Amino acid sequence: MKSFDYVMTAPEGIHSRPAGALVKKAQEFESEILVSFGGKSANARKLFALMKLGVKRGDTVSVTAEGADEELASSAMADFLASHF
Amino acid sequence: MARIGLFKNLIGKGQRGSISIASPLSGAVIPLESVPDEAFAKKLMGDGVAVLPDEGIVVAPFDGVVETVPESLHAVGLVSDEGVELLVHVGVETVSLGGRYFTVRVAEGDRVKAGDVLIEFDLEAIRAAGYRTETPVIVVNGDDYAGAGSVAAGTVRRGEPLLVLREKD
Repeated sequence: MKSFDYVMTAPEGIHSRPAGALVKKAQEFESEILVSFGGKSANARKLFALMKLGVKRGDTVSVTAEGADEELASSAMADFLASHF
Repeated sequence: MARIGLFKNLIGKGQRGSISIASPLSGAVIPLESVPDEAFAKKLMGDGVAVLPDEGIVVAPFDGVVETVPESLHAVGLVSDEGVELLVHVGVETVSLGGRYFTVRVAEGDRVKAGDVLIEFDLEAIRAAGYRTETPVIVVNGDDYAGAGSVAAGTVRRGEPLLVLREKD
C-alpha cells in the first residue's frame, strides 16, 4: 500500500466538478484508491462519495492506493491533486 | 403517448431493458456539449443532458435518496431506488455563489418521492450576478448501464421524461 497526505489549496475544496476530474484520473488505475478525511473514506472512483467528504480549502486528506499499480497510482494522484486542488 | 410516458416515468421504469428518468427542472433541453463548462461538456462526470431552466425549482425525478448536498447548495446528488446515481448541478461556476440565491429543501440521507421539491433558486438573481444557468443532469454511474440518451427535445416540464438509460444485458 502506498499513501500520502495532501493539503487542499483549491478555494472550493472537492466539489462536484473537480471531483469528477479526480474520478476520471482514479479510473486509469487498477489499484483501489481511497481518499480519507474527517474519519470517513471515499473510493476515488465514486463521485458522490468524494463530494460527501466535504473537503474544504486547508483540509488535509490522506490518499491511499493498494493494488498492482499502487506505486504509479499514488504518484499520479499526488501530481494530479497538486495541479488541480 | 406523452401521458403514458409520464406515468411510466413516475413509477421509474420505461420499456423493458431501459430506465426512464424524469426531468428535475422545467426549461429548454440542450446537449451537454453546449454547456459552457468543459468538465460537463466533455462528459467528465458522466453522460446526460442539460436544461436551461425557466423557473427556479429542482424536483426529485424519481423515488430515491438524497446522497449529497454540497455546502454551496447549488447541486444535489440522488440515488434512485433502482440504483441510478444522478447529479443535478444548477448553473455554471455557481459554487462561487457560496449558497447565495439557493434554498435546499432536503438534507443528505432524506428519502424523496418523485416530484418533491429539492432546491429552489432565484433564477433572475443568479443571472443578474453574471452566472450562466445551464443545469447539467448527469448519470454519474453510467458505467453500470449500456448507454444514456436524451428523450426530450425543445422544452421539457419537470416530471416529464428527460433521459433514458439502457440496461446492460
